[in-house]
Amino acid sequence: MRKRPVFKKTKTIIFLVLVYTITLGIGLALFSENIHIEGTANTLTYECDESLNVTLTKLDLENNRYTIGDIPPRVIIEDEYLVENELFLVYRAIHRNSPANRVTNLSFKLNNTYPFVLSEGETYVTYSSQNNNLFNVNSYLSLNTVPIGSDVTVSVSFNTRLNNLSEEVSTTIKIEYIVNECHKYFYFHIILLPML
Amino acid sequence: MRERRFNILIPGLVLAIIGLIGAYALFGEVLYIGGTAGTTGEFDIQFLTASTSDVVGSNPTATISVDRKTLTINVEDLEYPGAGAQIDIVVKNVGTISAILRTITITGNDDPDIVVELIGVEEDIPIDAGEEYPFAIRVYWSSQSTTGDKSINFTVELGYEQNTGVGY
Repeated sequence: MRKRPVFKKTKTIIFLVLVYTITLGIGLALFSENIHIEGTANTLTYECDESLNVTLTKLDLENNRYTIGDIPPRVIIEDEYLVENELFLVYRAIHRNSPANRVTNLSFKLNNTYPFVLSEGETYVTYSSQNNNLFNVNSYLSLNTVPIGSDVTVSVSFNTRLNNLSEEVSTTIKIEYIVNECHKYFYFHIILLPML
Repeated sequence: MRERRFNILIPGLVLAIIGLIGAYALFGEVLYIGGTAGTTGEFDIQFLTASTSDVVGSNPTATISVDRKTLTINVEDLEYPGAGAQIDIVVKNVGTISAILRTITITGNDDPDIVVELIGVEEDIPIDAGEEYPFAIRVYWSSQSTTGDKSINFTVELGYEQNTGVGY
């Protein structure tokens, strides 16, 4: 019996494999498909400049209060005003012989000219007091996370003996806030006038 | 004597066999079942709807192609870190064959400043014929970013296959 040539056998096998693969491929392609989403996004320019400045748009001193207990007032609010976005509070002493122990809650609204969302953990405020010896101002902030347009409250207490007060004294409180590594500040001043 | 017995036995046997065959033939018959079957299935997944929501400091658009196989999203002019938008998407199996989502491939979302997130979609979720499946994509400028003036191109490919886990 004549042997079938090897080349013919190989051709047959290859042909059968090809037919099987194509059939399988057609079967698979029929029951699968992809759908696509194509997208783009872009950001505007970001600069750490004056556009990140906070402005004070509201002064609210209605929360002024005395310390706990029934200590009568030692100072009164004589004036309050803004000068180039710096808040000035003017108090006048009304009782000479007792320490002033007044707590004032300063509430003001932050209004970013550049609409930023400030996130906790990255944005915080610190405070410092440039003081003289007759003043002891403690201030703290009621919150560290500052969303757009939030009210920020700073509490200020005076621990000063007014019987020594013969002339005007003042202190400046600086508040620092950070927006994505941009350091910004705003200030407010407390002025204490002696008794009339 | 013996010869006589054989003369009776063999014809008797033959007669018995013939009788048996005949009886068998009388009490047996073959039933035939004839029939035909055909397949007419259609495998077709499409984008049904796409709309924007939760837009903050940006100008997003979402457009489905005419053949409903491609969705184009543009989130332009992200104004500040934290700005962004969500695109709510509904995919529908408009075919007759049950499908299952096998692969999700995202490219171009490796920029830490502009983030692309898929919400509510994962692999191996089936979608039967006529069924809808909603999910969303969120694109935003990371609130932790300090770099502006950037842009990205991204793609999301959803690979559907026939769901072999239904029926026979």
